Amino acid sequence: MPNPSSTFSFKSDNPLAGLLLFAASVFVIEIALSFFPRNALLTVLDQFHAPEKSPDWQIMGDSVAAGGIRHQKLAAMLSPQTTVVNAALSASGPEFPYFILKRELAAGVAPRAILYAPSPHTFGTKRVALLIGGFATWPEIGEIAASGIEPFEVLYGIACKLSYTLRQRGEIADLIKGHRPAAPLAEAEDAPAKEDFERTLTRESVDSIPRTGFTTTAFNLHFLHKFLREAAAHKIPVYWVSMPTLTIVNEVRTPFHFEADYQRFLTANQEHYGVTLLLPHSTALPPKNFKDNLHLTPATTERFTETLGQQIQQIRPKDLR
Amino acid sequence: MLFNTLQFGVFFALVLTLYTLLSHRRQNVMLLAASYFFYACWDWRFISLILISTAVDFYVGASLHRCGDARRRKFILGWSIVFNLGFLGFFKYFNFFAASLQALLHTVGVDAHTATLSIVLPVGISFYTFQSMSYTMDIYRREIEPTRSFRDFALSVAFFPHMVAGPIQRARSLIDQVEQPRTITRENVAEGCHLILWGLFKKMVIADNLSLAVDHVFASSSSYGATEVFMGTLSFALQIYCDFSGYTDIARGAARLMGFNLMLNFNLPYFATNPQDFWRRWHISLSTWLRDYLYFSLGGNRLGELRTYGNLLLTMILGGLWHGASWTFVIWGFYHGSLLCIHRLATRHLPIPQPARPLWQALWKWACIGTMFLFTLYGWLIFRAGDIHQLWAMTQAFLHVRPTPELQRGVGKLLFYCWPLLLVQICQYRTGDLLIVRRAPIVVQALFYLICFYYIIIFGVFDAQSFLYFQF
Repeated sequence: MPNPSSTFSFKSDNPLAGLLLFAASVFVIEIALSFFPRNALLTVLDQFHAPEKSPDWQIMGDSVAAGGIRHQKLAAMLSPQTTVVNAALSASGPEFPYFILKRELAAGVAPRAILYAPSPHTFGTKRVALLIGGFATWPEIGEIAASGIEPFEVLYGIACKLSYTLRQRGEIADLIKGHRPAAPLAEAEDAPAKEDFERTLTRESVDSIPRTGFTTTAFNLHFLHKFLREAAAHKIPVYWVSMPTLTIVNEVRTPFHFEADYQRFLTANQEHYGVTLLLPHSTALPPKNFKDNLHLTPATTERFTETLGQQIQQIRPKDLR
Repeated sequence: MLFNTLQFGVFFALVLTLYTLLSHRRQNVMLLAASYFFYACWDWRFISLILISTAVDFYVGASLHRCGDARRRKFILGWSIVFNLGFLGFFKYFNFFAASLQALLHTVGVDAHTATLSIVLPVGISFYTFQSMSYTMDIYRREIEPTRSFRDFALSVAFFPHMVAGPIQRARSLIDQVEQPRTITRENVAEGCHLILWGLFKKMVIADNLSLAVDHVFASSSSYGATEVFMGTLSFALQIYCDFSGYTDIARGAARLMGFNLMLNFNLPYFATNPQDFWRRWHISLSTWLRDYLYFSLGGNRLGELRTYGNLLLTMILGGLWHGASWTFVIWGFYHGSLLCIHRLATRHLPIPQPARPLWQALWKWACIGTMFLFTLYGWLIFRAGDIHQLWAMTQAFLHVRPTPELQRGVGKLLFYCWPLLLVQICQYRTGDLLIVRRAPIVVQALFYLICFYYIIIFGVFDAQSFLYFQF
């Protein structure tokens, strides 16, 4: 019997009332949460801004290139007028450069030449949801969906784009569980090498290195090819650089013919898209040169940038766009 | 295509949309096609197995109905059972029996090399075989009449929400629902959504998160003491319950959204007060199948005391073996059979205390629940152990009690993921109403759904782990 003193009753004859209230609450919560700050990973992706004017050289790739090539040093090695920007995005992969280049072309600030330094393992891993949820604009999402590749990942990515909670689920979980949130990637890259990395390269971390040959996903390959085609169409030369790798990583991969497969992949890109292989072979270095399994220490970054600069000095300016 | 994937979400949304647009007859055709597509997503080669099994049982059912001669009817039914169990036996047990025979011969000094085949277990074979067998056996017993429509029978066997992991419906209950036009009411939608969300919570939040801890303990059990083994087994008890009942909830919810009513498969099993009560609450569709078609067929309790215990043991051993080709499942079945026998003996020959005061009654009941839960836990240790050696090692580990922070951490983790389950189940148990949440004020309902939803979003395991019962 309804309470006569109450002006509002939570009892309802509609069996769907609870579900409807739930759906409305989710909508309100997600709208409210969208005003909260983004997590470290997405903030790093936010850091990409198209340069104000066309740079002579633009470094592209993932976190290994973002932290492993000093663009200021490169610029200093080339000439005082040369501009070099590092547009490599942490946590990204080979599906990102196409969208970056497209945005730059649209803004009229495309680089004259691209130094593309991807980590080979990123060609075989999926980041569709991250690309859509954290980086792509709605028209770009339309283009991704129209490719017809990985439709369910695209759908999940769209859900991430729409829901703050879904996008930040890892960080919220850490917060609730009382775990220390992961340091923003940009900060992590600048952090000095852990002195004990050499000693902490334990059996466990060696075991974590994937025991597979070089692999690619259809999605990554599709957008890599679009990137290379777009660059070729606008006569922007792409110079492919292989970043140094940990000796043990190379040793683990050798039985799976990883390097041989990767070299074949590079040659195919050279033949089809006119990519120049600037440093096609990865140099294997001991653990003291690394902060972890992938990322170079600042000292090694300096040395590697110098080697790279010497290679670039051989390129004639007329070869640039 | 797992229930906890986006693929299933899209598939189900398409099916549901089409379903609402079609007439009853076309709904059945579409559901049958969708069910075979659903199965083909696992392995299209085994579609033929379902089709053969369905065709055989459909025609056996018709023959049994037409035939008046008792001996001939028995022969037809026997042929059908041999055929169905032959299929099941070949795909599920061939290697197990071949290897066991080889080991047995080796112990008596004969080195025989029995053939083992590389056989892929067709997903859901144990479920749809039993479902299909119940049809012919019910017709044999003249409990039901055969359906005239092959399409309707095929749909009742292959209906995608229950095909790969049950509930094992009684043939007539589902055929009736297939034959009659169904209506989608608001109540159906509300209950369907409720079951799906609750099922996803149980699977993605509890079962999949606990599976990491369980796998860790059972992978390196030799180095653990009593606390770790206890926590590992407790986690597995919750994992297997939430995994299987979560699957069932999603299956029942999906069916409910289309106006079907699948049977209840779990009724608060860890609140059981004795072994008999446990089997009335755990995997109800299998335990009632075994009771009706195996235990009763063996004579049940009609052939004297000794034979009753024998029948109970045999039924439970075969029930254990139904779960998979491993000696640990046989031991698990024997263990539960023994518990049932001991309970039967005790209730018949020992004075069971009947406290008069409500407080003592409640204490006695909770003591029974706690004791039964501990027995069930040991059963799960048998069930999860990789082999007999591991089972023995883990049983011995119970003797090595040592203080460890693992217990506090483990309990904390369990409570973190399981508190909504615990809270809901205590309310369900106290009120005797499994739909207590649905009957709560709408604010409470919405709050419950919000908690489940955000737990799934934030803590759910998204890399679509398979359901444990798909391997059985």
